[in-house]
Amino acid sequence: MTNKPYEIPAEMRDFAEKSVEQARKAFTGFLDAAQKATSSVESSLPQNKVMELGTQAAQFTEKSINAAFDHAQKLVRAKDLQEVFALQTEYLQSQAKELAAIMQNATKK
Amino acid sequence: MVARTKKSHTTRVAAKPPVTAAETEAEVVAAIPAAMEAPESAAEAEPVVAAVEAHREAPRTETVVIQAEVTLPTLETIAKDMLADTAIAKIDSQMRDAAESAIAEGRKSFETAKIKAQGLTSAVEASAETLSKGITDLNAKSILALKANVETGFEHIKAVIGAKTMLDAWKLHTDLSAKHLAMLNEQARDLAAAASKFTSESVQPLKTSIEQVFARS
Repeated sequence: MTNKPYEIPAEMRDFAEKSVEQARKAFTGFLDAAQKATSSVESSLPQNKVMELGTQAAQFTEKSINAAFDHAQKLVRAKDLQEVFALQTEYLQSQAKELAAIMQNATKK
Repeated sequence: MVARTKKSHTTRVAAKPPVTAAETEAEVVAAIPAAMEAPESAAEAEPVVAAVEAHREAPRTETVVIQAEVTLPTLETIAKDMLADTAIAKIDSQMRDAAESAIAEGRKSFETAKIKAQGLTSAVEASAETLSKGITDLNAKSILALKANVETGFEHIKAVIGAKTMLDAWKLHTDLSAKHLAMLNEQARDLAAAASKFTSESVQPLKTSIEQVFARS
């Protein structure tokens, strides 16, 4: 462990921070859309359709929680900060893909 | 509708087939050096924000997914540059053991209350309304949980980037990991409860009718 400061030019740090902020905004917008798309399940839908939606909700929940636990486990095993960055990036990307699949299902009726 | 992000403009292209992963990656890789050199890149966030806003109005997804994928690899590249010659940090093994057992515990509490998709498909005739309410509730809770997890991920990256020394950065990392774990265990409990609530409630009418059959014989 070292106490030496990061050797990063201020502009690069700024750029990195802006990139994170930008990605965060994009993700939030995406999650809002997902929230909208799944915010109501008509009880008048045919029963098999409701069952399908229920199964999807259950699977999504399970997958997403398992992914979060897997991610947390990898994070605490990370050996250095570079690995931490790589793990976070990988997690966020996988969740974006997962959500894209959900949304495609939700909008293609 | 497929929209793509080129290095400095958000260009909406009505392309026929969806963008392939390889194509997108190639664009991303091409975009990285140019974007890193351009200090005026802050201004380029504008079209992205506009695209996200537009997306909110009409919930179609591809635009935003691709935005997120474009930005994140850039970050990873930056991280590599930032951390290239820095010392390897070692996590205190006690802290790691504690975290590992917290994870195992959280998983177990989720597993024991695990959603029985099979029970779900065989149930329900009498309770379409209960079921649809339960599904909506579970969906909302799941997305909120995911939102919190994603936010924590971004917070984590930002904190580590913003740290002044390696030691600070590593301390922030371990603190945030612990905080995230506590949150995750709570989520697992809540979601399992939400799921088992709507599954058991929906199963209830069926269960009752089975019990009646048995009571008669």
